[in-house]
Amino acid sequence: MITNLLLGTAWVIFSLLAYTRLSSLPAQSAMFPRMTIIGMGVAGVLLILDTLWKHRKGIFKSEITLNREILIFQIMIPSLMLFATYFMLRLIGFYGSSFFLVVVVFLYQTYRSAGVSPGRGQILKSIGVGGIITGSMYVIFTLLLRLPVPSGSLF
Amino acid sequence: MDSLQILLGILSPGVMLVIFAGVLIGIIVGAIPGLNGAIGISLLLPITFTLEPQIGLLLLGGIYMGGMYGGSITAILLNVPGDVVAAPAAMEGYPLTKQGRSKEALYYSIFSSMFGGVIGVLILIFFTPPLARFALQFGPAEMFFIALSGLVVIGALGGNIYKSLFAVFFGLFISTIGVDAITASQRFTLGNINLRSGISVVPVVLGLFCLAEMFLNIGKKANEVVTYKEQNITRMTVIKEILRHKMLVFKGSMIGTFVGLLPGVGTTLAVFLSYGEAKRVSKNPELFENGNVEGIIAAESANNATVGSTMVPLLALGVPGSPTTAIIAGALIIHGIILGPSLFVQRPDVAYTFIFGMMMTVVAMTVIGAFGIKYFAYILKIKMEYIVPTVLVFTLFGAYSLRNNVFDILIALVLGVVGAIFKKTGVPLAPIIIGVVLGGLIETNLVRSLTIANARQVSLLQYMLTNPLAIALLAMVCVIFYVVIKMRMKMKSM
Repeated sequence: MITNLLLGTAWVIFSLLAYTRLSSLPAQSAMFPRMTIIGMGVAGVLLILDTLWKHRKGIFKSEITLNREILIFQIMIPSLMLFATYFMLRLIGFYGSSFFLVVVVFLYQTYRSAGVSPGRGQILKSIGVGGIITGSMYVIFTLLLRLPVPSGSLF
Repeated sequence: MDSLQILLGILSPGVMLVIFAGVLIGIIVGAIPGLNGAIGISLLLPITFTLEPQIGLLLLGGIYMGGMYGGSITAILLNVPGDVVAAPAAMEGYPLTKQGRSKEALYYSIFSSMFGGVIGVLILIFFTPPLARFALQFGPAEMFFIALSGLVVIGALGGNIYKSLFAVFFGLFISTIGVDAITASQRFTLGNINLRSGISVVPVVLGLFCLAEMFLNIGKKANEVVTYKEQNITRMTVIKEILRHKMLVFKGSMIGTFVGLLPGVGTTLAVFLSYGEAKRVSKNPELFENGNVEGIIAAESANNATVGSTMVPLLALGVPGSPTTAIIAGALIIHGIILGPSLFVQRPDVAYTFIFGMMMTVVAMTVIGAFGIKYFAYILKIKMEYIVPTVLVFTLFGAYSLRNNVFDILIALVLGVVGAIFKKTGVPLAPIIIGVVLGGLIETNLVRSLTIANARQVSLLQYMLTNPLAIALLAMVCVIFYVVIKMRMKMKSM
């Protein structure tokens, strides 16, 4: 129930913040965004009221499966890995950062599914997998399809 | 370009190779738990940039068709539906696997998918061009109501209606970010130069579908061992048995086709309605959920029938019928192709090659499905350790490749985090995509209507409701909404 209330409150705050950005826009430009922002805010208020009403009537059924473990291990840590990759990408380009991402995610996935810290064998395996995946991408995108890939400020 | 040229083009070895490759990729991504056709299409978008638009589209169409069928493989062999739409296949197919009849169940799935796919594509071929011709008469008011019909998705989804409502408005809001095409004023760009050109649908899809899904796949254990048993059963035996249930196939395909035609409603509803109907009319309803082939026939014919029919509103009206078709719409936009009635006038080569070529995706799916059954068990042995990093790297590249802009990767990452949180808090993601795709269409036609109304010195409502066609379309939106709500209630009561 708390998560629903937090979600509803977050949407209302987001809508209010977005609404303040409309004041500098010409009326025609602001018309449609205003509708969408009001829609989001109303949905947030209705979610809060609906949750409170259902809770009071004793018919509230949670659809939420988010818990602390999922938030930390399945959302926050993978996000950090990806954001780190993004900043690496700006520095060393696509292939170097892709290799890093594959290695890190492979090791993390092994750790999460097996529940044990990866040993030397796993680390070597992750480097091998990283090399194969990155190498395959190089062959497909750069050599065969000749598509541009992001380059970093260093490479 | 005449019909014969188009058909010869489709049957050329290069195009057939692309179609078969698309279907095979679709089957593989559909069969791997945690992946689905929409993810497959998103990941392969960059490859289509190097192909002719119609060929690239057929590749994506093949993935869509193959992905629909592929989900049933994991469902039947492992009791793990690759997608919600494969849940009935798991309910009926897995008990058959436990009885040592997995080959039979897979045959039922592929041949029912084939019948459904053919009917859906026939509707696509015969229904789309006349609808597009008719839609050429539409003005801004009519197009506004048509685009609005796509938002019916909020009524079609299960779960909390307010969360669906928010998701739709959130998608529409994302579509407003950037420089306004009419007044050239910057909206919600926060002074960032990269946001001036707006947020494209591709990083949104990649973030919400691929990244969010991969986040939640991290930590998943390897699949349990698949026990596929060779059985002494021929394909013809199964086809004859399916034809003995021809009413079931026809009903399932028609339900799939009808639901697919409703913009924004999606496949899940079609599959469960068809499955429920099969159970209702069955002489042995007590056998359902214990390995009843009738359930597989009904569900699989319905889900593949939606593939063709969801393309009808996309091609004829420019309104995507599902998240997958929204991604295909994004691919067409990248190729500079404007969807909607003018497609058949300006790029008939693309439109007709695609709609006729979709029939070949059904053929490819049937050939691969019917002859590759014993190899499917191998797909299920691919470990998540390899899938997750591969998909992540492809996603980063996919987000970049649309505009060759690194900032799009950041957008995909942020939306990936948002998507993962939304998924776990019961906020549906499909309406966000539909909102992003339809936002521009709705706003443009709303502003055009307003400009015309001002010029005629009448109110917006007066302008919109003076034309009988616009009134009819508004009535159609209301009817669709009513039908969808009724279907949702029927599905809930099942």
